[in-house]
Amino acid sequence: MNPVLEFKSVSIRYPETSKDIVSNISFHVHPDERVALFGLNGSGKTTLLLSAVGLVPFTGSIYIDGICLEKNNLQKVRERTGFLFNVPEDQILFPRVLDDVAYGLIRKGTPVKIAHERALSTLESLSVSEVAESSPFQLSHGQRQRIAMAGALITNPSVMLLDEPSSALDPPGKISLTKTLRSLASSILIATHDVEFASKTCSRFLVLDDGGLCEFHNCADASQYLLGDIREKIGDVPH
Amino acid sequence: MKDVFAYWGCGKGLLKILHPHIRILSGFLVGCSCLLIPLQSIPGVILITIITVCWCLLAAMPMRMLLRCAIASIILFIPFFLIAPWIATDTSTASPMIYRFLVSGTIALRSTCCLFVTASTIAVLAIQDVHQGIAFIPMPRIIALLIVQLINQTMLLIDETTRIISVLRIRGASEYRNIRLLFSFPVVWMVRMLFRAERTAAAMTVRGYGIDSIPVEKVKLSFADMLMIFGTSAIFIIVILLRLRIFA
Repeated sequence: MNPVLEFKSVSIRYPETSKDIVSNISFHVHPDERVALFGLNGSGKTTLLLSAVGLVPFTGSIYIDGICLEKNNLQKVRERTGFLFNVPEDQILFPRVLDDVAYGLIRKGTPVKIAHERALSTLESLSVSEVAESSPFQLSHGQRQRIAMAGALITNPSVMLLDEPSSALDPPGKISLTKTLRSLASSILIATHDVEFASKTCSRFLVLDDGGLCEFHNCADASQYLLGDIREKIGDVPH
Repeated sequence: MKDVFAYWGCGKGLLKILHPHIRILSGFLVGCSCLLIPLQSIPGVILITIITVCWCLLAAMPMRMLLRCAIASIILFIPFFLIAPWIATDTSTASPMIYRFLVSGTIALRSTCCLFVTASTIAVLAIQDVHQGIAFIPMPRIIALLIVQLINQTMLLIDETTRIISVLRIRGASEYRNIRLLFSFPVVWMVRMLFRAERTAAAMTVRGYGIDSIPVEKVKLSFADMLMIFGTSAIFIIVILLRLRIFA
């Protein structure tokens, strides 16, 4: 089975820094696979996700849906990707929730009426259909996060890159997000600190540590590794 | 500042039964009419007053909002009278001072009417109607896109600014000894806005936001929609004719 998302010897360094944020890492995500990406603050999780849509310069190769990410095919790659930013209001571009969620489909030529129907059912799956006619500015942070999520989900992209999707959600919100993500046919890479959410949603776990990447098939192992990393950095963890 | 959100769509008037794009277009035509009505004569003054009052009645803004508009217009436009002594007059004018105050008065009246018309139009448009309304107006998509983003980003800025103000309050900026916190506001604000702009640009890129983001849509107009658009167009044409002194 060919991977839908593949990083091959990818290194990322910002121009103003002397050290690689991510150094020579390789991993892949298979179709329908949900992978969690753990790491401490500043470990490069968001940067890694941004590099997959060509928003951060990198060396090495990134393949999405078999297409190598290059300058001349950025648009093609982005069309196959659903992205959730960690500040949801940044990616809400329309003054009505329904228009924002439906936008991905309208852009692809779906008639407005059908796009709105699909948007409504996507919002329903995330338990926020009641705010479809509202302005995003009247909503809570958690609701905005779900709306941004719906906007990313609606086109059924091959790959979903989610940056802290559960950070602002209440427990019912997390449960419905888990259910929705598990029902999707997309491959999903989730950058998160939420171990419980990741354990319920994902089947494989990556930990970014000092620019390198460790892979685990069990969330408890990944969590143990992270704890070890934390102990190394800040001393013993209080109970 | 959160009141800015409450202001959108707060009107309960008849205009609300119209399609959003008719509300936007009619408001635009009434606003333009107020801008162009010649005010050198009493009929002009009466006409602009009647148009404004009718528009405000049709929008039925809450009294609190009307009062705020009135206070805003007093604060913004009464100062026009302060410049009256320096307004140039024709040497043949019999009473230059009265003439000067009349000029200031017409500027203040026109501005006040425009403010009320704009406020009433906003009051009958929920912020979420704007995109829908603009999608139906046949205009260059780039302009539609700019208008939608202008409103969207302004709301976002207000939201962000409100949060910064709350933080400043909680951290004691209102106390005299912490007044220096206030001076940090512009810096914090600017930096946050720049970062936000950068992140929004990234989101636009990823989501493929572009010229085709607002498709042109077609709608079947109701009788009320047609009546309003014909009425406001007629007012606008009459005002243009008055301006061109066709009736003189």
